Amino acid sequence: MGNEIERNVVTTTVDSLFNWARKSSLWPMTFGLACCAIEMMATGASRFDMDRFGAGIFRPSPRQSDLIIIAGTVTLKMAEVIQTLYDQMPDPKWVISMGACSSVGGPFDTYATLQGVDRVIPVDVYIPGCPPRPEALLYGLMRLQDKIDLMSITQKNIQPQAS
Amino acid sequence: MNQENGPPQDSPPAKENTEPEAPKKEAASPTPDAKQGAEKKAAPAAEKPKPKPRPKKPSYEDLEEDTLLDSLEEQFPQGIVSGQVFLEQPIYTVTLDRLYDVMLYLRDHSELAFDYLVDVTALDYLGDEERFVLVYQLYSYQSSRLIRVKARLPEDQTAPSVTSIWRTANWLEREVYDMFGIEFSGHPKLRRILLPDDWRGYPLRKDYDIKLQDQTWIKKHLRMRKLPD
Amino acid sequence: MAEQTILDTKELEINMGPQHPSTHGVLRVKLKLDGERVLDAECIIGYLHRGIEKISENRSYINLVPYFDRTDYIAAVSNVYGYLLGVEKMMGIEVPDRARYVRIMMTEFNRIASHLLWLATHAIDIGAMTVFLYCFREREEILKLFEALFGARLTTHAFRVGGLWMDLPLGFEEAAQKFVDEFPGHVDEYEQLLTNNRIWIARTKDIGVISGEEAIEWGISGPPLRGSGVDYDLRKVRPYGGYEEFEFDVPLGVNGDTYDRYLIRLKEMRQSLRIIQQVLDNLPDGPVRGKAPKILKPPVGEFYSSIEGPRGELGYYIVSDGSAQPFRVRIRPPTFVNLQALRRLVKGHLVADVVAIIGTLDIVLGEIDR
Repeated sequence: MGNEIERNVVTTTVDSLFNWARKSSLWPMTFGLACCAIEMMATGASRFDMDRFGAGIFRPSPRQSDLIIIAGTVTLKMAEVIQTLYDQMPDPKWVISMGACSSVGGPFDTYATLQGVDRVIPVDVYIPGCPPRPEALLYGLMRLQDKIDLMSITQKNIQPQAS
Repeated sequence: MNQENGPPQDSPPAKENTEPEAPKKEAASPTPDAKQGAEKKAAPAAEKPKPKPRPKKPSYEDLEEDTLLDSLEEQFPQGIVSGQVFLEQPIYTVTLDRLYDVMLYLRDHSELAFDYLVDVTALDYLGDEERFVLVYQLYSYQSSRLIRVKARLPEDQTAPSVTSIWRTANWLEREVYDMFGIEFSGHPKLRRILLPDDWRGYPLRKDYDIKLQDQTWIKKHLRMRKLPD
Repeated sequence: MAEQTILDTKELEINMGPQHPSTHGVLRVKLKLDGERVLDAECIIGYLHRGIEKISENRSYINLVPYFDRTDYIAAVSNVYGYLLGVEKMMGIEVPDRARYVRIMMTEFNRIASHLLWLATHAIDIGAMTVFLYCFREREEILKLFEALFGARLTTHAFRVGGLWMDLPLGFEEAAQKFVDEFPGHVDEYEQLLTNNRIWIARTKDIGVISGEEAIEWGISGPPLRGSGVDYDLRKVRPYGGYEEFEFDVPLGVNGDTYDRYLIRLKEMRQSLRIIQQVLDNLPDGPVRGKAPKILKPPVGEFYSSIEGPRGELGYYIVSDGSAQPFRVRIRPPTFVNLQALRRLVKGHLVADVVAIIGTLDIVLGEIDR
C-alpha cells in the first residue's frame, strides 16, 4: 500500500501546479503585424517548431488565448485595436513584445507609429532584433515561462528576480 | 575621405564643412598634409575615368520629333505646357483645366491606348505659387510605352478625378488626398485611406513635421499608459 | 405577414479583421452579406502605415535602403533591388557583371521564397496543413543562403549601391546548386498534394474569375494579371539589370481563376530555378562592387524604376533636387493596386471563398500601407 502511494501520488503546492500548467500550455493568439510575424510563423513551422514548448497552438480568437505576441510595428491606428484585443483576452494573460518596432518604435520614428507597445498595454517580455531570429523568440518564450513560474495565486504582481 | 570618390564639383563644399571645425593652430601641420594626401588620392581617381569619358549628367531636355507631343499639341493647343525627357522617360506637362480631357484622349485614342494607369502621386513644392504637382504614370499594352503626365495645381484648387477613366485611380487618388490634402472633384468616395478618418493634417506636405502626431486623435482613441521610469 | 418576416432576408454586415488569421496581416474587410453570399466588400487599410515615404524625405539615399526591406518584408531582396536600380541609373553608376548576375540570382531566390510563403499561407487558409509545413522547410533552405551572403534571414539589406557588399562566401555556389537540384522534386511534392486534389480544385476552380480586359482595367499586375492570360512581365517588357541575357518563359493562365493563379506561381518557381541555373553556369569572375561615391547626390531630376516583384509591378519614382536626400521617393506598391480589385473578385462568392481570394492576391500589408 505504502509503495502504491509513493508511486502514484505527488505532493506539490497549488502555486507550482498552476504555474506548471500555465507555462506549459501557453496558447498564443494568431496575430501578426509586420515583418516579425513572418519570423513568428517560421518559429511555429517545421524547422523551429514552437510546439516543443507547448506554445504552438495558435488560436484565432483572443478569447481563447493566454499570450499575445506583438510581432511588428504598432501604428496608432492599430494600437486602438490592440487595446481591444488585449481587453478581450481572459486573465491570466501575457504579452511578448517581439522586435524593435513594438518595443520602442524601431526605425520608424514617425507621425503614424506608436513608440513602443508598452504605452498602451503592459508587456512581460521584450525581444530585441529587427526582426528577431526564431531562436530569439523561443528564448523570449522560455523567459516568459520562468516569469510564470514565479506567480502566485494569492499574491499579485510578483516581480521576477534577475537570474 | 568622403570626397575621394565623389564627383569633383562636390568636394569643395564638403571640405568647407569639415575643415573650419578643426582648431587651426594644432591642426596647422596635419591639414596641409591631409590636403595634399587628398589631392594625391583624388588625382588618380580623376584620371581614371578619362579613357572612358564620364557620361554626361542627365538633365531635362525638350522632346524632339515626338509624335505623341505633336498630336497632343494639335488636339489641345492651349492645354500642353511642355514635353520633356529625362533619362529616356518622356514627361508631358499639361494645364489643370485640360487634364481630364488629355487623359481621356490618351486612353481612348486608338493608336495611343494608354489603358493601364500605373501610378498617381503628387509632389509638394512648398513656396511655389502653384504648390502641388500631380504625377501620373501611364502605360499602353498596345505600344509598350510608358509615359508620365504632370499637372500643376495651386493649394486652393481641386483636381479632376480620373476615376471614371481608370478604375485604378480610385485608391491612388484617395491616397494622394490622404497624404497631401489635394481634393479630387468627381471622385466617388474621397476619404482618407491610410490614416484614420478623423486624423488632422496631411503628412507628406513639406511643412508637416515627420514626428507630428495628432494628439487630439490619440487622446480620443487611445488609453495611454504612464510608463514607469 | 408572418410568412414574410420568416422568409425575408436581411443584409448582414460583418467585419473581418484587422485581427484575423487569414487576412495575411492587418487587413480589415467589411463584408455585406445576403445569407452566405457576398454582396459587397470594402477594404479598410492603413493599419500598418508607418510613413516610409515621409521617412524617405528625411534620410540620405543610402540610409534609406533598409527601409525598403521593411516595406515588403517577404520580398526584401527584390524591393531593395528595384530602388537601387533607380538610384544607380540616376547616378550613372555601373555595376560589375558578377554583381549583376548575383543580384539576379538572389532576386530569383527571393521570388521562390516569396511564392513558397504564399503557397504555405494560401494552403493553410484553405485547409491544407501539410503543404504549410513542407513549404517552410524549403524556405528555410533559401533563408540559409540569404544568411550566408547577406547576414540576415528576412530583412536582408541585400545589395549596396554599385554592387554587393561582399563576394559569394565559400561553398555558396555548391549550396545553391544543391538547392536547384533538389527543389524541382519538392515542387512535384506540392503538386502531388494539391494540383489534382479534389478539395483543392473545388475550393479554387472558378473562384474569383477575372478576364484579361477587366484585369487591365483594374490595373492588376503580376501573377494575378498573367493568370488571366495577359502577357506582361517587366523582366521581358522592360528588361532591367541584365534579365535580357537569360532564357525563361512567362507562364500564362487561361481562366483567370484562383486555380490558374496557383498554377502560375508554381510554374514561376520552376522558371526562377532556370534563371538561377543559368547564373550558376555562367557566373563571371571579377569585382562585385562598382565605383560609387560615398555620398550620393543624384542630379536634379526624376526617374521611375520598375521591376517585376513576386507580387507584380513594383515601382520607385525617385525625385531628386540635387541634395543628398531625395525630394521624394514614391513607392508604387503592386498589391495596393491589386487589392483594390478584391471588391470585384469576391462579389457573388461565399464567405469562405473570400479567404481564398485574399490569399490568391498574395497581399503584403507592409507594402500596401507603407
